[in-house]
Amino acid sequence: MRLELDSVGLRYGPVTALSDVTLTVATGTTAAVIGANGAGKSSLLRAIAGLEPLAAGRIVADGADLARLDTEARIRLGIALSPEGRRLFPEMSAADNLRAGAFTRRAGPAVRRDLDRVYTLFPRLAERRASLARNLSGGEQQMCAIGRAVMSEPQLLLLDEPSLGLAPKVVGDMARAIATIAASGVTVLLAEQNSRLALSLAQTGHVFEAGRLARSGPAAALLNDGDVLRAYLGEEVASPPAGPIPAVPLPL
Amino acid sequence: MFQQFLVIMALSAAIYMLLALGFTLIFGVMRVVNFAHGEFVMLGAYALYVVQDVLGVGYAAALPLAALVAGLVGVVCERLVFRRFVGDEIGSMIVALALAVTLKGAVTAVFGTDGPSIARPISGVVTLGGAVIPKDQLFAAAVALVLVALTHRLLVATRLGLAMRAVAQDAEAARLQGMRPWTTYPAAFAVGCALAGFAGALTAPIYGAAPDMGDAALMKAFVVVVLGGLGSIPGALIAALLLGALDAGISILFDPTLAALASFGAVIAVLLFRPSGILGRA
Amino acid sequence: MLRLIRHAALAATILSAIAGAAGARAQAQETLKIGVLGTLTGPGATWGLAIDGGARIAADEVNAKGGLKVGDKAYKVEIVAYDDQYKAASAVTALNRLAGPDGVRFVLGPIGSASLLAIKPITERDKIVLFTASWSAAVLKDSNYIFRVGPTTQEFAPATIAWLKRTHPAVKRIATVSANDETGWNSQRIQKEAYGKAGLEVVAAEHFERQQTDFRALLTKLLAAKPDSIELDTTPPPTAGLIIRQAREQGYKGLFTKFGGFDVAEIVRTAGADYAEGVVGISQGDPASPEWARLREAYAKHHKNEMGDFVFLFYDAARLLFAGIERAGTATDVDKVVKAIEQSAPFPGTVGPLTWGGKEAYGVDHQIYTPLYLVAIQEGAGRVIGKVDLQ
Repeated sequence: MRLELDSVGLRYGPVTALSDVTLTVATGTTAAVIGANGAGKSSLLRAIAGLEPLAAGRIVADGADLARLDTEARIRLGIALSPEGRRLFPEMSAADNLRAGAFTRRAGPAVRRDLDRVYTLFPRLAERRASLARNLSGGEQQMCAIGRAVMSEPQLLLLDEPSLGLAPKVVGDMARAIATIAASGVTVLLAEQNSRLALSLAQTGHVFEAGRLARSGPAAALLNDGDVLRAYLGEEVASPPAGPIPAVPLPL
Repeated sequence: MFQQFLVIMALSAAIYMLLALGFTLIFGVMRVVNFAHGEFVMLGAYALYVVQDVLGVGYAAALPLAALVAGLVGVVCERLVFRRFVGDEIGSMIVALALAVTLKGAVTAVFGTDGPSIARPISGVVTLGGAVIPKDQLFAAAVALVLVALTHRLLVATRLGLAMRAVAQDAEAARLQGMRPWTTYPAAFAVGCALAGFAGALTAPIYGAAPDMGDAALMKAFVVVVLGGLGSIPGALIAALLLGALDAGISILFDPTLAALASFGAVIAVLLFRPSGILGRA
Repeated sequence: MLRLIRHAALAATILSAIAGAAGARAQAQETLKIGVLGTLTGPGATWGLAIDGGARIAADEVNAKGGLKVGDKAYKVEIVAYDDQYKAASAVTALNRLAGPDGVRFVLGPIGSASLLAIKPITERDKIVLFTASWSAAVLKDSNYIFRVGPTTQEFAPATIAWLKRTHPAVKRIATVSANDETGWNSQRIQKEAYGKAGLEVVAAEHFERQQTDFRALLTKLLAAKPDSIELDTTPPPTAGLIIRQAREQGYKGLFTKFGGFDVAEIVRTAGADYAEGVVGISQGDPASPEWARLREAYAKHHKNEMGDFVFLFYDAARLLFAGIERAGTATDVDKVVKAIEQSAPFPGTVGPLTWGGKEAYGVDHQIYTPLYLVAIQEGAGRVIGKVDLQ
C-alpha cells in the first residue's frame, strides 16, 4: 500500500502535535519515523489509523483519501497499528489477542496459516499462547502486539515503538521479525526512539522535531550522518545491532 | 436437613448466577452500572405473563419470547439513555435509577400494583435422598445453568463475544482490530437484559410477579457482583454459590433476617479486605 | 434537551389550566378534603387500596346525596391519597403534605405500624384525626386523635384461638410465621401468648423479610419442629400464599390459619387453588353476602384489583367520620368532631353495630369493635364457617 501525507496538521486542543507534514511511503517499503520523545511520532501513526481527527491536510492510501473513513473502516482497508504501549487485551490469552487481530477476516485456512506464521516468527509466543496477556513478559507482549497487527493481513503496518523497554537481545529478535514481515511485501511505517535500529530496518527515514518533519532521506544516508543523529536525537542509548539485519524468509 | 440445605443452596445459586451474569456483563463491557437491572427481571416476568397468560402461548415458547422482550427494551434503553453514559459510572448509575423508577411506574400504570395471575406450567416435587426438590425450581435452575453455559460459549467462542471482551478491556485497541464499540454496546446490553428477562420469566411462575420485584432481584445481583468483583464473570459464579450457601445455611440455622445481614456483612468484609472482589482486579 | 424542557413546560401549563378549571367548578360548593395514607404499591397494597376504596365509596355516596351537611353548608368530599410504600419515612412526608399544603384535618390510614408510629407525634401536635387499622398496641396509647377501626390481634386472638381449639381438637403444636417488622413482631408476640394461654404449644416462631419470596430454608427449619398448624398471622396475603405453596410442596400436611388480615383472592392467586384449600382466616365481611356484592361493585369503579375485606372497615370508618362531622356541626373544630365520634356508639356498621372499647388495654376508648367472620378457602373461594363476636 502506498501512503501519502499531504500537509497534515494535528492539534490537541491548543497544542499543536503535527504541522505541515508531507511525506510518501512507497508500496512494499519500510519507512522509519524517528525523533525525540514528544516529536509527534505517535500522533502521526494515530492520525493515519484514524484515531485522531486532522486539523489540516489529507492522508491518502493507494490513491484514496482516508478522511471519511473511521478507524474500523481503515482497518478493513488494510491498515494496522500496533500502538504505543502495546495495548493488548490484558484479560485475554495471547491466542485470543491474535484472534482479535483477525476480527475483520472470515475464519478459515488463510487465518490459520497466518496464525502459524506468527508462531513461527515468534516461537516463544507459541509456547505462551494460553497465558493471559497481562502475565506475559514485556518482550512476549510486544511479540503478541505485532502478531495481532499482522493477523489482520495488513497492507500497511504501523508500528509504534516496538523496541521500547525491551532487553537488547529481545530488541534484536524483534528487529529480525520486523525485517521478515517487511520482506513479505507489507508497507511498514516504523516509529522509534531507537533511531539506529529504525534506520537500519528502513529504506527511507523521516526525522521529526516538535511536530514538524525536519528532514527526510534515504535511511542509509541518515544513518551515516553523525550530525543528524547528534543534532536531532542526542546521545544514543541502545547500541545498534551489528551489520544489516537479514530477513528470514517466511514459510508460505 | 443437610440434604435440604444443599438443594436450596444449589437451586438458589443457579438463579443468583443468572441474575448477576447480565448485570456484570453490562458493567464489564460498558462500565455502566445498570441499577435498572432488576426492572428488566420484572419486565421478563410481565412479558411472560402477557405472552403466556394473555396471549395463550405455551411456556416453552413464552419463556424465550419474554427474554427477547426484555432484551429489546434493553436495546432501546441503550440507544436512548445509556449510550451517552458509557464509561461514566456515576452518571450511568443515576440515569439507571431514573430508568428503574420509570419502568416500574409504567408497568404499574398498565398492570396495576397487584401482581398478575401467572399460570404454573410445572408442578410437583421429586424426592432425592430425603430432600424435597420442587420440579419448577429444578427446571428454573437447570435452564439458568444452561444459559450461563451458553453465555460463556458466546463470550469465548464467537466473534461477538470476542468483540465484547475486547471492547470491555480496551475500547480503542478493539477499534484498532476493526471492532465497532457502538454496535458491541447494544449487543452486550441486549444480552445482559435478555438474561435478566430470562431470570424474571423463569421465576415468575414460582414466586409471582409484582412491579417492585426488581428491588430484591437487584439486591441479589448486586451482592453477588460485588462479592465476585465487578465485571468478573467467574467471580460472579463463585459468589453466587457463596451467597446461596450463606442464604440457605443461615436461614435454616437461624433466620432469613440474619441471612440478609450476613450477605451484606460479606459485602462489607470483601470491600474492606479485598476491594476488587473475590476474582476482580482493581 | 431544550425541546424536552419546552414540552414539559407546555404540559405543566395545560395541566394547571385543567386543574384551575376543575378548582373553579368545585368552588361553587365548598370542598372538604379527606386524606388517605396507605400502602398503594407492593405486597401491602391490598390493604392500602382497601383504605382508598372504602373512603372513595363513602365519599361517592355522600356526594351523591348533595354533600356533607355541616351547619348550613354542604361540603363536597374529596379524597386525597398518598402512598407510604410501607415505609415510615414516606408516611411522614405524606402526612406533612396532607397537613400542610393540602390542609387536611381528617385522615384514613395507614396500616403499617412503623408508618403510624412515625407520624403519631404529628397527628397529636397538629390535631389531625386519624382512622387507622395499624395493629401495634402503642398506636392508641396516650393518643387523643387516633381511632382504630378494626380489631387487632389483641382483640380477636383469644376468640379465634378458642374457635380453633373447639373445632380442631387434634391441633396441639403451633408454628407462627410473621414479617420482621413492628407489625409482625407485635402480632406474633400476642399470638404466642394467646396460643399459650389456650393450652397449645408454640413449637416454632419465625420471622421473614418483607420482600422475601423464597421461604424454603425458613420452612425447612419450621417443619422440622413438626407443627399441626401454621399460624400465618399478619403476613401480607400474597406472601402468605407463597409460604402455603412452598410448605405444601415440602410435604406439609397440616392446617394453615391466618388470624390476621386475610385475602382469599390474593392467597389463592399466589398459592394456587389446590394448595390454598382449607386455609382458615378471618374476614370483616361475608363474601357471599349482599353487602359484599354491593361494595365490590362500588369498589370496582375505583380499583382494578379484587376487593379485600378491609374495605368494610374503612368504608365504615369514613361513614363514621362523616356522621361525626355532621353531628359536631363543624369541619374545622377537630376536638368537637372527636367528641362527636366518641359519642356515636353504637354506630350502625355494614355488618353489625360498631362499639368502642380499649380503655383497659390502651388508656383510651378509641378501639372500635366489629363482628368477625371465620372464613375457609374452599375450591378457590372464601366460605364463612363461623362468626365470633368480640369484646
